[in-house]
Amino acid sequence: MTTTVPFAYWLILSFGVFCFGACGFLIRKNALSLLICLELMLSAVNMAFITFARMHMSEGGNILYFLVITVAACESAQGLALMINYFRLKQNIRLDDARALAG
Amino acid sequence: MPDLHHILFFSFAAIILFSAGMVAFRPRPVESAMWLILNFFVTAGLYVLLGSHFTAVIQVLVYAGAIMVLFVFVILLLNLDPRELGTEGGASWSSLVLFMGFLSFVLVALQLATPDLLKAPAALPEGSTFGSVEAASRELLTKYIWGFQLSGIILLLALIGVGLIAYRKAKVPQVKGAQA
Repeated sequence: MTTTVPFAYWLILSFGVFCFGACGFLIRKNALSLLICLELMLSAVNMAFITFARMHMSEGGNILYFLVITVAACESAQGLALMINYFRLKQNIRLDDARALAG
Repeated sequence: MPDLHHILFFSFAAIILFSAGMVAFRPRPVESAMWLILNFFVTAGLYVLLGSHFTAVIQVLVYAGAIMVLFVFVILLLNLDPRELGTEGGASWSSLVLFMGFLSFVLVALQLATPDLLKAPAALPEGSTFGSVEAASRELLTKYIWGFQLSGIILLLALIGVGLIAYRKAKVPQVKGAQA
């Protein structure tokens, strides 16, 4: 089963999902939603990788997908651990209050 | 007459975009996480349409399974009320618009430079193994072996790091009197 939809549509879809992720990342004010939007952006990038892999009939894109989800798993685990520690410290996860390093 | 692939693609794309919007704009993190799970499932469907079956399975198992379970677990562990989540809004819209404008410029330039992108893609050649587990793992374990090893090291380091960050010394409870 192979697609007959032009690759441009796949790339535009990936771009749209990335846009939603970036919007969410910039407007959300708590750390959990930020991490979730980060996952959304990584997933959008993965979609572009798979599209390019199919376009060039090469497995390289699939391998890159594999590496990206490895990094995504590490990143979400680290982020969530940091957030749990922050919550223990401050009893909230509001990013507006997290200004210790803001200068 | 629109063929099956177009119908499937556009219905999947509609679900994906809708759920992505819900992920970005629903106020509570647990709703975002649930919509994100739907998004990942339908994205796996799109990968099947592209003929990349291995990544479709990985998407469901690792993304929708493992990573999102971690998220939902932490959300339920913290059990936040709206006060602890903070207020929404106050986005820096100008930088957002600038960023998106630049990205879409790159996309348009890419498609102007590559008119083939708008043509219907050629069918997979007869006997092609694109996207199968065998082809993907053969490439992974021969050509991309260093990336594979490095990803293993990254996972190990992340495991150690999470342990170091989240570990807290158990305090020995002070026994006060004989009550309880």
